[in-house]
Amino acid sequence: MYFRVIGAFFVILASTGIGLYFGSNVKDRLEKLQMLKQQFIAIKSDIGYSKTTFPEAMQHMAEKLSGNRDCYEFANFYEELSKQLIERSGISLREIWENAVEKHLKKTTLTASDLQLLSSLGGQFGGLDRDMQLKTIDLYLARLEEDRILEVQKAGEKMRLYRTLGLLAGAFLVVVML
Amino acid sequence: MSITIIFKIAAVGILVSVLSQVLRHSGREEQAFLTSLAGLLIVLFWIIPYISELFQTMQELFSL
Repeated sequence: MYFRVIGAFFVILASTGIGLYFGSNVKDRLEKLQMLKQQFIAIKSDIGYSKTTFPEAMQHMAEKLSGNRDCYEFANFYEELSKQLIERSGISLREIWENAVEKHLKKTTLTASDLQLLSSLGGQFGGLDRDMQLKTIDLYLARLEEDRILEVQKAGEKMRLYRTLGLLAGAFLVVVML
Repeated sequence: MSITIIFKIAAVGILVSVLSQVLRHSGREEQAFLTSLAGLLIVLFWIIPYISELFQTMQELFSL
């Protein structure tokens, strides 16, 4: 009897933990979107005011983020981009960008639509002059901000939902198994 | 047939209705429907052996 109670307790604890984990992913995605926004504002300033080239701007961003444990995926992403662009291996920017997104950012909490938006940005950069690059970044930042605001509005409710679902699903499993 | 099955069915009913409400409130109507369906299937899975036993007993009793 005691083992059943202990087992039931662990099942409920585990399922609540899973619910909390999915809730924390929602919060993490918001933080990642905010980081992306800040990074691209910094890249825009680098290109616009310091007149650096695109590969150099990527390199600067990689160096800036390399010491930060929370952004190591982004640091690796920019590092890969700058390395491939400086090497001039003949691969198009679109391909380099998409491969870097696939390799370094797919495992983060960013959703498929976030990664799709970021991938499409890379396809637009190739062959643009400085002014058009800055305008492209502005457009991306506007769309990112729209997504971020929508997500902020829904985040609280989603986190509560995942927590509640986790707890109730655990209770359901306990009743079914007992 | 023990009394615990009645309590289990009641608990499943309560949990399924709460889960359903929570999902419906969050705009996930389809998941709410699937939850209700899952609860119903689980309870049927528990009940059907007893119903089958009932029909067999009736058959034996009236020599049908």
